Amino acid sequence: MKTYFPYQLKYVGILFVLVAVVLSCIGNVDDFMRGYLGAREDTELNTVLNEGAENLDEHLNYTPYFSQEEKDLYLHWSLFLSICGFVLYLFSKEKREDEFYQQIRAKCLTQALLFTWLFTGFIYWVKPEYELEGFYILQLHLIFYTILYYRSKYIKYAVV
Amino acid sequence: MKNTIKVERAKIDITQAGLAEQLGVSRQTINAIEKGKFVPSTVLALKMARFFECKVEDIFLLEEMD
Repeated sequence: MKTYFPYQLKYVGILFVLVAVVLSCIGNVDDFMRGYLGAREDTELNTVLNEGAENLDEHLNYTPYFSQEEKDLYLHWSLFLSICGFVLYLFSKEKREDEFYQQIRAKCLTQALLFTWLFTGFIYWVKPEYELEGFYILQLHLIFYTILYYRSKYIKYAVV
Repeated sequence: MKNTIKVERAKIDITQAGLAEQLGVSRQTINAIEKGKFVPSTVLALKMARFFECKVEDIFLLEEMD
């Protein structure tokens, strides 16, 4: 599979993914704290959560850092940047691009698609309440693709 | 498909990296072809034949299962 992005965009892609991870951590800090405090106090989180998130915060005596809108903003930007980052990283040319890499890329993309379908199907089967959204499935596909491409490039076809 | 790239390389004493440089591909590509893990395109096969000054079928040989 031929690609047209220059090699240097790989670094931009890595930077985007790193920023996305940081934004995701910031956006989820309140959930992490709720989980941490809940576990520490041995709280039945699900029981309290069914009564609303505000009740949980009162119950845990916790003041959230961010409102729901702020959290969503961080998470949306995180998702957007991670997808852009993965796409830039994976579809940028190699230092010396040739037909071998084009073939590896196409092969890994197909394998990743298969793994994503299997994984998503498994999740729907085991935990139907999770309801993976389209963008998260796309992100999952790109993560699988990254792993398979990395494996092919640095392990399977590595030269000593 | 078998190939005799390693032998041809040895004849003119050129490394995988050197051959890759001459053909404008990566060293990984030459390594994968030599090990039979990757079958090159016709263009690359012809470039190799021209570089080694022989016919394509002298470098790439069909096996019974092909």
